[in-house]
Amino acid sequence: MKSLFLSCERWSSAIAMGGACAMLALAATLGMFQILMRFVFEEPAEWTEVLIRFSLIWMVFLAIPMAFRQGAMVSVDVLYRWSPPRLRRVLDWVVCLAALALIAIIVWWGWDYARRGGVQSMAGLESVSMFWAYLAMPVGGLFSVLGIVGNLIDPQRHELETAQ
Amino acid sequence: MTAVMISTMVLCFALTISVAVSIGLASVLGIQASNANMLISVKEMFGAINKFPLAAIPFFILAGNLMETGGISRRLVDFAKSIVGGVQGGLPMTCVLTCMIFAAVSGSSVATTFAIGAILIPALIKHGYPTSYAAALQATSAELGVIIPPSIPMILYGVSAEVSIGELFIAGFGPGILISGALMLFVWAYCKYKGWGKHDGDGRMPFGRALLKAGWALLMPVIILGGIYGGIFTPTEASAVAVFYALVVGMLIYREIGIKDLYAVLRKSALSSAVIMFIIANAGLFAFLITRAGVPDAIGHWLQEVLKSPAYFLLGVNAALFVIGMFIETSAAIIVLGPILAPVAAHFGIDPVHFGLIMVVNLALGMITPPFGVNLFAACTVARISLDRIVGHLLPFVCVILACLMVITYVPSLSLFLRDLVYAR
Repeated sequence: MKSLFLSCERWSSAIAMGGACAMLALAATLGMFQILMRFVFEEPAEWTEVLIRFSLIWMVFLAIPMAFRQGAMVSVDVLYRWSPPRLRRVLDWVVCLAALALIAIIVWWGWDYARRGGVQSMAGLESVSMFWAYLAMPVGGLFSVLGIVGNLIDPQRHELETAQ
Repeated sequence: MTAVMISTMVLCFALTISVAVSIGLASVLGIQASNANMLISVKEMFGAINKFPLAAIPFFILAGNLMETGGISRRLVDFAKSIVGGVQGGLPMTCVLTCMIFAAVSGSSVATTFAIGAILIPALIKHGYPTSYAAALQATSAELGVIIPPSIPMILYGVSAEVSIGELFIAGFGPGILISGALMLFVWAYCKYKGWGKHDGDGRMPFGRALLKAGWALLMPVIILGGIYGGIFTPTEASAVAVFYALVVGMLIYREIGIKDLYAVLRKSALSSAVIMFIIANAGLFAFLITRAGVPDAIGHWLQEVLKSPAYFLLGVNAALFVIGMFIETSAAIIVLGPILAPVAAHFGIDPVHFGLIMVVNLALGMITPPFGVNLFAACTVARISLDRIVGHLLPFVCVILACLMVITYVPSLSLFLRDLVYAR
């Protein structure tokens, strides 16, 4: 049961992460394209900025499942390092439930917000509905649920790699 | 409501719940307590990261990781060594100088620690320096990564306190050079005193050859900063240029990045950026709620009454930030405190750019103060020693940076001189 869940979770987090990488690559390419348009073709494109913002938002929500999974979220871990193994396990549960509570809000209200946003169109890119931008929140949230539970079952702590 | 939010946040921090989730949950409770519509939560979270200047963060992180993988750091070490490596204590000085140059291509201290430390910590140990000294030196020098532009904490401060990122970047040069100079002087004197590093100059490359080899890497800060201040592109666009420059140099000129490495670099960068931007999203919601409740104004009035002059205010802020920096990560602290403190500083007539520099330098010091110091963790990882062994050698370094911080705080022209020169009109 445990290993079945973990292998499902490995797939889901990897898919989300792949999406996040694609979004980052897309945003960087669009950034370069924007400068090229302005200087080489002297025709500033309005829609690149809009797309960069939204692809980066998708990147954020698609990468947080993996960040939760790997324990890469920045935290103040003084108590954790000073506590005995049994207390650590309690803290693991607390951390997991807290993250699930926040993600539940993001999924529930994010979906509501996306549905309401369906009537708006993106400023600067009028043919596309804002639904597709807001959708990042509930989708990323659902992937995160698996990542958070995965980290509870099989804890990892890779916080350092993501700090600035 | 504010009391509920702040106490929830602090309690969550203490329970090792991640910063982003702590801030988010505290805000959600705040909304609940004030009977507001929960839809605000997702609306403000989305709004907080739906800002174009923030795109510079993932781009600079990506560019930094590309440079690290692309073999830039080794060439910069050779270059710095060819300049200062000839004297006694030249190797520790090389470490400071390399970090200073690397800082101009990267916006992160941890990346600087890994990239430079991986080369210089083993070299320092080989030349007879104690391992703990090497690690402490590396952790301290890498701080320059966020003080010399480009800098991710400065972008965060600029966005959250609504200050020009271009002005912040250029204001970072004075303090950056001051700190590098002070550190180099200190390690030189210390090595003389201890009698370390008499053979540091061995195997040094001549300056001309080192310059030629590091040329492509050294051109990058010129392009980025020249582009920003020449008015060719915005800091955000400059970050996109940095990505492509690093990609071209790493893949086509140095040929050290293969297609396979590319996915690993993208993945690492996406992960780091998402962690920061998820904090920004939650902190945006938090800031919206406490601003609506009038908290920053109240804190401002209170501080103005208690600390009557700007000098006392700066001293108080520095002391508070120093303590906060020991426990909370730099980016997170700036996102939460920037919007609260910057308006208060403005009340006291302190230039917001100068105040930003004080915050960044002070919180960067938090990267090397235990118990939570990301640079210490990184340096200890590279040097393979435990955290408690590094502390003894760290103290003099912390004192040097503290002295620099005082100079930066009370001599505003050090930060603002270049800014006024460039943005005079």
